[in-house]
Amino acid sequence: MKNNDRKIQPLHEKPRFKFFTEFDKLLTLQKFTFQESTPSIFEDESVFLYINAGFGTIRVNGMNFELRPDTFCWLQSNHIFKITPDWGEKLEISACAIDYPLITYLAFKGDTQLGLSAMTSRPPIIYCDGDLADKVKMLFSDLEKECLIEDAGSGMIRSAILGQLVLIFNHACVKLYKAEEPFVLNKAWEIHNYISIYCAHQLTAEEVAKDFGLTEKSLNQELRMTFGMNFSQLLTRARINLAASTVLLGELTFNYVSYYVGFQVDVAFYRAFNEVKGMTPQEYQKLYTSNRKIVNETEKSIIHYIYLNFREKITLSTAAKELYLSENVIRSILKRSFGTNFHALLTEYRIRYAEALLVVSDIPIIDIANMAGFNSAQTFTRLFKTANGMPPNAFREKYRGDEA
Amino acid sequence: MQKKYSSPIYGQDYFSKYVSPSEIYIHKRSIEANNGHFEQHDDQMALLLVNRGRGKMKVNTGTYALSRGSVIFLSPYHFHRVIADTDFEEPFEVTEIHVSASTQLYVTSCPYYRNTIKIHPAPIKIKLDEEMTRQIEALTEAMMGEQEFGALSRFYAYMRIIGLIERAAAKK
Repeated sequence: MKNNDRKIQPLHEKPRFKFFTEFDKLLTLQKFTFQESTPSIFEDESVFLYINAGFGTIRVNGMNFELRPDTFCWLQSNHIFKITPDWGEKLEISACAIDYPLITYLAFKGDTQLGLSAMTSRPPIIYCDGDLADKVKMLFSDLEKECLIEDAGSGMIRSAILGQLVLIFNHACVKLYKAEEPFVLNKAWEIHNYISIYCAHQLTAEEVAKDFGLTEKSLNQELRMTFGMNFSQLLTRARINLAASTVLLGELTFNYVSYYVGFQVDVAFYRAFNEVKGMTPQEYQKLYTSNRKIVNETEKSIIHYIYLNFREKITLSTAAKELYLSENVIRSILKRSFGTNFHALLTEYRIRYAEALLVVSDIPIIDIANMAGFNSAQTFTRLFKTANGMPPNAFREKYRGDEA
Repeated sequence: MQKKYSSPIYGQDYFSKYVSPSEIYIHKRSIEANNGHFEQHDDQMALLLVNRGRGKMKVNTGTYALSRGSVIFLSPYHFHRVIADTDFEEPFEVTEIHVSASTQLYVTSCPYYRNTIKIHPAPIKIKLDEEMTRQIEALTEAMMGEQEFGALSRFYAYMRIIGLIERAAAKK
């Protein structure tokens, strides 16, 4: 990074929210041509920018960075930025917004390169050339093509392309980081990082100011100069953004979310949510789950458990014990998602497995019953008859016939 | 032997232990003739794409004809055997991707993937058109040649393949 000037360029205007990240703009490629400065933009989600042509500057959290063709930026919700084209220049930009729940999904747990602190303290800008530029351009053009199609697979493909962009950005950033001198943040940036990471704790302006060797007044002044907001406003915003992604996980009550993100009173949470997002948490959840699903971990864990263990002697009660769920919860989830019950699902798997063994092997029926997890050969024969309309012996003979 | 689980309270904790992007294996092989025995992989899904030639596959009790562009998606309880058609002049060449069942569940839980988890008793078989076959071939080639970005990159490529297959299935 060339620009390590820690002097803050003050903000002269009110920040504008949701410039690139309006609900219907998520995951779509947007193209812009800027001939004059944009307003100062403070997004709630993160956004990728790629400069196709033109020269200019981008001011992120009060620090100026050069923009030239093949500049690749990844801006987060803790960046306030303003794009200014050079005099007489046209800046052509491709932009794509990506929401935090998706980033959480794409980053496997334990991937340190995508950890919160790594994401917040890294320079938001890399300059691509050669192979790297080709790769990124290729991905952007793939994304553009995908945006014209709207079908069952496109959501998955677009998510995967964005995952690849995240990966490329992180790799390039780590390389850049090592090669040149470490990237130094200005004070307001550091303070805001601290707020975004620890927002769920009971932070007070006084304590944070002390940690950074400032007084409460100078802390607020510093923050207002850079972000146009004071400490408590930034804290609330960070908490609500965290709450907004937590709400989309499903399965959690709003009371719990409110407590989890650091609010002590529910009423304060609802009011703050309304102020920041312009809608109630219920409305937000409804809107944002209209084009995607809530990632239901419990449903997945039940299916996974049955998949792995159907050959063993498992029952609803062992599943409940192993998965730390109540039997009723499992029952209702299976009823809702698959319209079936635990036993029927288990039998289905076992019968399919037994069918396969019958046809491809000479194992005696009593052993097959045992291998597929049935208690006895009688139970197996009875259930098999119900499922296939014939006993296992007849099934074996019938389908062995066409064996080459 | 039952596997021991720790508490999956919520979030990714449960799957973080069982899912890792490195659990995707890919290889290309050409099948000479009758490929002997049936295969079955516990806790693994298999995705087969036919690159060249003609043949058939026996899965449990069914037989499926395969030719260039055929994709077949198998669940853990599917015993399968690939048989090449020796009368056909081209050699029979398939690309196989093996994914653990938990990784596959993780893939289908992508927030923007609209389908919910389904259980398929029969294998899913789709015939792709030429353009889509090329797209998937390009992705599998990239997966096999991938050095720089590692396992995560393979995982994203796999997501794209699943997306494309979903698209082809919806077209039908």
